[in-house]
Amino acid sequence: MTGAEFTQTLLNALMLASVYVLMASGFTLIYSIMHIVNFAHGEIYMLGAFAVYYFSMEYHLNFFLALVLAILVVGVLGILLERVLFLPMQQAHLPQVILSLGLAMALQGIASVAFGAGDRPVDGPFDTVLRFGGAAISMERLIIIPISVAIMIALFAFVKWTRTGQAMRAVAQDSDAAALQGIDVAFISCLAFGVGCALASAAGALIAPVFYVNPFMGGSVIMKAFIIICLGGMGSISGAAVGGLILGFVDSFGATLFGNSVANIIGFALLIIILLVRPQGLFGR
Amino acid sequence: MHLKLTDVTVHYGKVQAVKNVSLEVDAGDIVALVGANGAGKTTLLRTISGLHPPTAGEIRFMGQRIDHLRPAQIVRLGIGHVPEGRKVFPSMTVLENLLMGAYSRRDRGSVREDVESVYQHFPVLAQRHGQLAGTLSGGEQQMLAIGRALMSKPKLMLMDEPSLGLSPIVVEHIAEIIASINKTGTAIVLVEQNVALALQLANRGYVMATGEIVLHGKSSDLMQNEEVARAFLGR
Amino acid sequence: MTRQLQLAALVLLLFLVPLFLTSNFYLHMFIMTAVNIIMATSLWLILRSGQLSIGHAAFMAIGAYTSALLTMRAGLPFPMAMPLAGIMAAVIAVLIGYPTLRLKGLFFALVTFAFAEIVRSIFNSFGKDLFGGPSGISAIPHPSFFGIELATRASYYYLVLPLMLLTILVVYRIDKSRIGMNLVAISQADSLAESLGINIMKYKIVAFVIGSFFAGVAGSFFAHYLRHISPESFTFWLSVYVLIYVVVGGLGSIMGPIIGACTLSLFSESFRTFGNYEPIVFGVALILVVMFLREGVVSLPGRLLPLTQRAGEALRGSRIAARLRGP
Repeated sequence: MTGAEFTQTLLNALMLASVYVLMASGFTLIYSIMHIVNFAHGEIYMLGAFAVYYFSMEYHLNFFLALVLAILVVGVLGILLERVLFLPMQQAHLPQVILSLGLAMALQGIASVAFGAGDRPVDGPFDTVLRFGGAAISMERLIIIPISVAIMIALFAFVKWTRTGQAMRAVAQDSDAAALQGIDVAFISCLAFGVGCALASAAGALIAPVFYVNPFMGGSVIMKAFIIICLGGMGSISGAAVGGLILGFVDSFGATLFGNSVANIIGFALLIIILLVRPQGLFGR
Repeated sequence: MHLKLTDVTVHYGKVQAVKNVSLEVDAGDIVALVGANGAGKTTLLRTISGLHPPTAGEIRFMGQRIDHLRPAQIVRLGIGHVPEGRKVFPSMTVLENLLMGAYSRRDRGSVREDVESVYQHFPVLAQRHGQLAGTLSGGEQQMLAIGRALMSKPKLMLMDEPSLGLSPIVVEHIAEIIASINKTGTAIVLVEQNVALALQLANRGYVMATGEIVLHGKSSDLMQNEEVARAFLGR
Repeated sequence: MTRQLQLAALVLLLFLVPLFLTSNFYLHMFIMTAVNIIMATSLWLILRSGQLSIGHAAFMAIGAYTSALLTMRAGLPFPMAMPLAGIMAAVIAVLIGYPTLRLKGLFFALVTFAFAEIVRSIFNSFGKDLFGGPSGISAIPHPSFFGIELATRASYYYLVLPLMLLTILVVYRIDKSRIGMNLVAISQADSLAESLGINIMKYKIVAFVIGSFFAGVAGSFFAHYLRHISPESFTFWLSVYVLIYVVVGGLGSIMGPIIGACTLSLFSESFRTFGNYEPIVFGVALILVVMFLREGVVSLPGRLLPLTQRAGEALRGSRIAARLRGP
């Protein structure tokens, strides 16, 4: 691998990792508080991409404003979905997982009917392409990295230092004990689902200028999510961050060195190995 | 009447766990609730705290009906609960656990003072304030759980098996704490398998078996009672 | 009529279906439903042992590709290829199951998921001259038994029906036998079962292998029925659908996967008329069932009965009241 190729692959890895980390953090947050695997996570990511498409391309808003709106709108949608669909089911986990499957199907169907099955391009915020040492990377790819880092820092701060964030951690660790301290577990669950969706939406919105937006783009997201949270440990946001980094690098370098299909297989093989060797993941309990 | 239960019945699905239980707690009381494993004591406490709805009956606290309120509302009304098995938040520090106990309080300003007073009750918690609660010993976790419940400044404290799994010295310390909490005006419902301990601390007691109250009265009377003596005190 | 007579009558009726339903559309619906029942019932056996598999489609794929290749490349006759396809799936199930069945719950499920994706990737990207890559294998021959080729829908129906009945029979017998009792014990409490001397791993492997065998058989049928297979035919979502058939039908008895597969197959085939709206309708239907029919569709009769009883009582009550009120 030449120096230029290496730089290119490295930057690509960081970009992928940035998106993966956001998406997986949302996924693991939902898992840690609601104790369900949210099969609709990929579709939420897709909705984030469509939202940024509509706000920036159809309503011609500034890309960053469109990004913020996409995150907020989908986050609120998440809160509503939790409130209307999941909450009435009162902790019945397996049925809730199936509900998320139905939701995934319905959302994908609605998107393909409402938006049509074609690809839509989203213009990034900048046109520039940066070059260093033979490698070329567009600004719209590069910008994903600091934005993602900023969002993750905000997330960590929220969870560590705000009262509501701490309440979320408490509910994740012991929801009965949390209820006994006066924490409204139902409200926290709604909020967690909303934040989880907001994070997925951010991931989708950030990647939208890089790849095309279409109703089926969320399909393989759930698979990446599984791999990442197994690597990092279920229910751990720092685990999701580390897992996302690892997978970003595996996917990027794997694709450059061995091609996409092998890179895919490596990812899944990694998952099986981790499950056999250390099922609780790197950070899990 | 601080707390009044009237004919409370609780089911888990089709199984009846608590049947027609009536009991009263007055301000300043320590009421012992004793009985064998599976008698329904924990279920009763969880129902009072709103974690589980009663199938029938009334629960009143300070005159207000609370039996269909949500747990968060019941905490805000002034009922604290130290759950069976401690249930501290394992990945949070001692201090964070205590602060969680104060979650429902509006007067954020005096929270710090109350943390200090918990540290005074339990100096070991002050020492370990930055330590993750999951790494504490059983006795320390129990103290933390009690301290956490105190942070909400409850008028009534429900304590579920505080002595379980602890050494006699630690149990003694905890018994002293329970007594001193009561002296500051907090009523206590004490569920215990250690009947002798419970009846010593309490002024009144209820004995539960298979979901029902089978005996109640002044704790001094209960201690003299032959059946109680035989069943629980090993005489 | 005794239970057995009722069942025999039902089976007889099933065999007579092609005489009444001659349209290809309906026969296709019945055939696909039968395939789904085989998949759901075989998955149910695995779930009974307390292991959640979301990779069942992988074994169907293995069976399908094996059967296609055995008939097309090795020149084996179909009656040999199909069982061998099932055996191939079973063998791979043993290889995968041994190191991984000790994992519980979500962990095992994730292994099955990863395994299924690896299988699909292999069929998609490797051995292109053997597996055909993304376009898969086409022009798979009709099944032919001793010179007689099955080319009509009805003949396919008569092939899949006994396969389905065999699957149900075998799984039912296993469930009712000691193996079955042990499986349920294991699923309830591994450690308790272990302390009673039940060799957990043995039973889990048996359930997993037999379940995968029948998935392989279903795959073989599927390959020779549609006569074209590709990695896209056996995605993760197929595994998920099969799981949904079982769960929506109800986990408690073998009727669950059967009824679940029937109702949902009927749903999705009839929803096909909704065209683009099919996934929406299916998804919403799933959400509604899960929100309002907790123990699965099997519980529906049980739920409706009290309602009909109450309606009957109300009716009776109003008649009595009318009589009491006098003329």
